[in-house]
Amino acid sequence: MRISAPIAITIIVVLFVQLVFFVLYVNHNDIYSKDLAWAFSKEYKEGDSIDWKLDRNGDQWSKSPPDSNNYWLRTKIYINEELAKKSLGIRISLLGSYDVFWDGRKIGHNGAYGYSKRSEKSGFRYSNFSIPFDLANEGYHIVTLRIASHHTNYHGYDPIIFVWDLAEIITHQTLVVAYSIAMAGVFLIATIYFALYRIYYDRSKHFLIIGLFCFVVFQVILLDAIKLIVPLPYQYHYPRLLSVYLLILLASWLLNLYFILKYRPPFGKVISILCFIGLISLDSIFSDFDKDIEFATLLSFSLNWIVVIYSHFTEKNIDFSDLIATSLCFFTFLWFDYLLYYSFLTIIVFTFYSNSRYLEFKKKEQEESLLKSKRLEVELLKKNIQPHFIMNSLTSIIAWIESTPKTAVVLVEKLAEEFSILINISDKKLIPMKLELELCETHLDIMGLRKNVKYILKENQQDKFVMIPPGMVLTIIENGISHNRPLNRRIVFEIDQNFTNDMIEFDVKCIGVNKHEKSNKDGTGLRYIKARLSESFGNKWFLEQGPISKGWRTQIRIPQV
Amino acid sequence: MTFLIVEDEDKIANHLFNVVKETIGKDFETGHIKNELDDAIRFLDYRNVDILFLDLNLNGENGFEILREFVSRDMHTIIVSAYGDKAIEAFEHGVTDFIKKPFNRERISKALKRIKKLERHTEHFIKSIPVRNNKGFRLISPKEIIYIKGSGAYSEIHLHDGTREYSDKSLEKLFILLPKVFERVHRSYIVKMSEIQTVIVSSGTKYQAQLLNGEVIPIGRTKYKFIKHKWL
Repeated sequence: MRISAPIAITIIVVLFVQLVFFVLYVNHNDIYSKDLAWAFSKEYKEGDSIDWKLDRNGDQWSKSPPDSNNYWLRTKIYINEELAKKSLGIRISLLGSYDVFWDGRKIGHNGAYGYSKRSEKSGFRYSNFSIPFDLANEGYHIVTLRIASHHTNYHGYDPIIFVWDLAEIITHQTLVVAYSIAMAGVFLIATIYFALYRIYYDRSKHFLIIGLFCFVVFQVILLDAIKLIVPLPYQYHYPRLLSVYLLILLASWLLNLYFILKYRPPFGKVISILCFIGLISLDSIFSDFDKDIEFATLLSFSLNWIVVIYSHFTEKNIDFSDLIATSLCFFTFLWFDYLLYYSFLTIIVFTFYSNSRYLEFKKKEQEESLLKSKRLEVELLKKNIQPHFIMNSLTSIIAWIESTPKTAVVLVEKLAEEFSILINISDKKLIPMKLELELCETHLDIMGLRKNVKYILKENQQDKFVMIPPGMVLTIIENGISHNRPLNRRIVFEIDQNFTNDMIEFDVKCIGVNKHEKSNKDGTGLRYIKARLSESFGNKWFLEQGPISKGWRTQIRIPQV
Repeated sequence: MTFLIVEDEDKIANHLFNVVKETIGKDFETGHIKNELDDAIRFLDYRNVDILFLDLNLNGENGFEILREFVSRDMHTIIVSAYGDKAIEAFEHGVTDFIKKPFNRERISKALKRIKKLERHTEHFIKSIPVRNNKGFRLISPKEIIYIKGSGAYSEIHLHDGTREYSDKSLEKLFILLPKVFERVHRSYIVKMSEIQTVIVSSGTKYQAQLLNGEVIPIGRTKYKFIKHKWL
């Protein structure tokens, strides 16, 4: 079943809308919108004392985290009536190894506390602890953490602590992991697709770039989700974040490069370099990774859109899929955290779409060219089975049988020769000049016997193995015979070859008396030659012709093969 | 009998010349060969022939246009062509016969016999008769004709709209091209039978045809029997 372009685009848009709804669904399960018990006011105290585990006093606790690698954190959490009915868990996300105290009772630990890098065993980035049922009653609770963070010097991370139904915490985490893995899978498959497409089908550079882009995005998604997939010691938090940041910058730049290489706008290189400089200089403008990433993608998307829009206004060949994709990308900024990968996905899906269309177009083109070449083959064969040639030849044979049977035999033999050469060459796109000349000589012998005119072929050939379209010279000679009167019962054909630069010129002069008939500019013969030249040489050929003082001259220039 | 062969292939032209000359036999007066159409037209401008054997590339764009130049003249035009599929169209343009290449003696002889006996084709007839008037060249359809009067070297064609046109062709040569509804009722008259209202028989065995438009034309004494037998 064939699907028309508008239908295909509609399907893609519908799929896109579905994806957006999926995002909304994920968001519905977003932990931030739930009825959780958050730890808002966090207080810190440098040093270590087990007495601090239930210190209700306000003194010596400060609001800002200390520079030290051994400190305590204290916070208050309110458990309402609703939450008190559930079996609760506490989720802690911070950079360090720690013991957890709930109302002074130790409920768990993450890694092993220590006073030096050696004695501290690093904990994981995220941990969940079950809260003892007898302590999870309605009201305020004090949570204290005894923290060691000798494995990192990065203190800018604000700890996230909340209490919720333990089962829900796990479910939510699984959902986010599932989403990330699914998305990563899409980009992995896309990477493989573009790699194979580039290797086996189209060696254009932009497919290499979009393949690389997909691979980078695949890496980014995995790196982003790995914190939830495997227990990651907290010291890897910063390098991971830095890698994600750099990879997104790289992805943004590759995406821009892809559109530049695909559409090749003027100053493409300049745009690409500007994009690169813009992306790396963002680091010095914002101190925040998240802001950096948001502006990096905004820069890339804007440049892509400009490149695509420009190409659509300057080129006639309009592929709307890229226009739609690059425009849809701007929705990312409504909800950056969730929509970024969907924007990348949109571009990939539309690229799949336009690739499929391109393949369809290529297939059609190939079929057409095959059909054309078959048609030309038939046209060449028809030269000898068209009534004018065959019926007149047969009538001539009858005439010769009645007057001079021996000549009739020669005529039949020559006809057989011409047929066999034509059958051999008709399915070829190019044949050696030598074979073409044999064909011409046979044809002239036949016409000589039929018309009682002496046809002379004078050839000054330097290269008899030059490749030319079959029937090229024959067609010129046929035209010469029908459009010129013999001079003293003779028509002379002179064929010269001239070599200039990378071209070979064939100069065919028909010396007789031109009939000055209506111009035969678009005769079937000439159309045949032109079609054959286009088939083999594209538009790199020249054909000139016109009357000369004694007859007609045709010049054809083709590239040297 | 005189003829002209227009054929650009020498061998075929000579062969055709011999065959035609043989077939005509004792009636042969002169025969000519021209290789080019232009030469042939120039020749015909000052010489009359009875039969023209014409090889014309009817596959081209202007083949039939050239043909019209020949068929308007007072001669029988026989096409000798490699394009057998163009026969019907050629007949409609007013050729007397159409011979496919390669031809043989029997076919040439049949064509000449038909001309001699003024036999008409059963299925093919002319669709447009080229005539010359002071405005130049015009094609008329047999449907427009009431009757044709022969006057020496040309024919006077009387049309439904009351006008007359003149053809260079003699009455015999027109008759052979026309459809069966036309009959030669007199030495000098061809009439479309459906145009006759009544036949008036006067004293002294004088026969006349009263036409639908009121005109009266004579019927030959010898023709009357034949017409009565066939039409009344």
